[in-house]
Amino acid sequence: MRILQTNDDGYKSRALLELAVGLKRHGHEPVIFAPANNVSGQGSALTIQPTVKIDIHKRGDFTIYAVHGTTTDCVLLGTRYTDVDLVISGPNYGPNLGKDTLNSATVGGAREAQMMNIPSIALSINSYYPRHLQDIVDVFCSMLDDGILRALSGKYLLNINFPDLPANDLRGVKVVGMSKKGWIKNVTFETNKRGMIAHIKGSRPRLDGERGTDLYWVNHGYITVTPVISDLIDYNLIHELQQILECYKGE
Amino acid sequence: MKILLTNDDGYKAEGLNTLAKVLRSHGHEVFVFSTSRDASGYGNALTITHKLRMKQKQTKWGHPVFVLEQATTADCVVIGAQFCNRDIDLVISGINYGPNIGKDINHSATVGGAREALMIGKPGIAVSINSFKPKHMYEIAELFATELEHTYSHILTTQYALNINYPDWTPKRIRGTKVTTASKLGWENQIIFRTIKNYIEVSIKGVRPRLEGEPDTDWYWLRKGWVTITPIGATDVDYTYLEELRQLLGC
Repeated sequence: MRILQTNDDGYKSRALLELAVGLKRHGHEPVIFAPANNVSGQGSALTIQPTVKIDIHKRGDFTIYAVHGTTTDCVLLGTRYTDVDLVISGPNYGPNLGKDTLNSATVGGAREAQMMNIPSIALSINSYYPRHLQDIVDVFCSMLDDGILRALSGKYLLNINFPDLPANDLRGVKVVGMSKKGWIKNVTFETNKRGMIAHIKGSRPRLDGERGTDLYWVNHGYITVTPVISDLIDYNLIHELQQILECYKGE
Repeated sequence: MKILLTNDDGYKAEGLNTLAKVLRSHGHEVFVFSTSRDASGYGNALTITHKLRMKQKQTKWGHPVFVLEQATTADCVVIGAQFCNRDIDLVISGINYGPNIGKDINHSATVGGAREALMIGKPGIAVSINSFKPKHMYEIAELFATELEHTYSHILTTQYALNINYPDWTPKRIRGTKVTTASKLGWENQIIFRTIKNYIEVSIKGVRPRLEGEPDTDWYWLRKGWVTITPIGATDVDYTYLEELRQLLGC
């Protein structure tokens, strides 16, 4: 199948190219649209500019389209440039677990595809300096053909996180909900002559995660798969909220 | 209440400042943190790659605004809350010029601000008016402030944010309030790709179709003169499909 690949670490990412090689070996046709720069943390940001530049780079057998924009821009433009069956965002250096997925551009890109009714996967590795990239790509490509493709739907996107382990040490797959934990966003303020400067610095404490959540299982050597809503709405709450608001009517 | 107010239209925006003024006149303590620029479309994007300059500016509306250079609304919420030592009861994002309805709420920085509030453990409300050149901004701000006192302040939660859209009508003519789901409609992009040697020049033109909206959606009711409220979830997980996915993947 034709697969649009993107990420938020930028077009130079080795993981992006490794995955392209793996997908091709498994008989797929990867098309790569990735940001020209690192856009981590940009969530589902869409750069609404009237003109956007895309640089064309050659890397081995592959053409890489480097978009001067966000991951979401890459998905919007890539899916319009050519027809694709699936969008894969990643592999991201570093996990996208717990509540952090809200700001994640890796997940944001996958969500953009889902909004256009194209099945999508957000793929991340639980390490900023992965040592087992090759193994992870191999296992992921096999998983894709053996089961994941069947599980793809227009109803949700899949958020997949890999532990940074050799193939033999991966303990299995867990379909789980997300931890409530995640990045701690520390803000520091400095004052100088010209004013104040604020700096948001994320720090990831080494947390174990609540039992049964993505964070917990990935730390225990499992690949985690979480179905992620394709929009932001909590449909289960609509009726409840209606009733709550009824109570206040006429007061 | 102590309210952190933000939005994505820039610190001079009438919607932001009118609401600040009206909330203050209703006895609230309001801290305004705004982006210097128009940050529409940036969703939940958070600036984690560099530092942000912050300045306090006095406005003609009589209140000061903390302006964050080239920031997003999510930045304003994270930085603003920290600056206030987290001593706030509620985050409000708005009043936005133009509606935040349909599938585009995914990219909405107004909604993104309210959603970021949930992540830092505060209730969030996004408020928008269904016109890019509103005629009833002041009356709508008054109406919202009244409804905040009578209704919304009693149901504040960090489980979900409220996305509220007002018609640009005089309050007397407004027909009521509907808790609804979001339409699947939204901006359509006309995209043209032009290949020039080693790069592609892309022109994007957004058009918003004038449509009725599917029955019983925000788009539909808002156009008919109703205030619409949609619950925005605090989690990305689609728990509805967790079990189904387990079965599909056989784990």
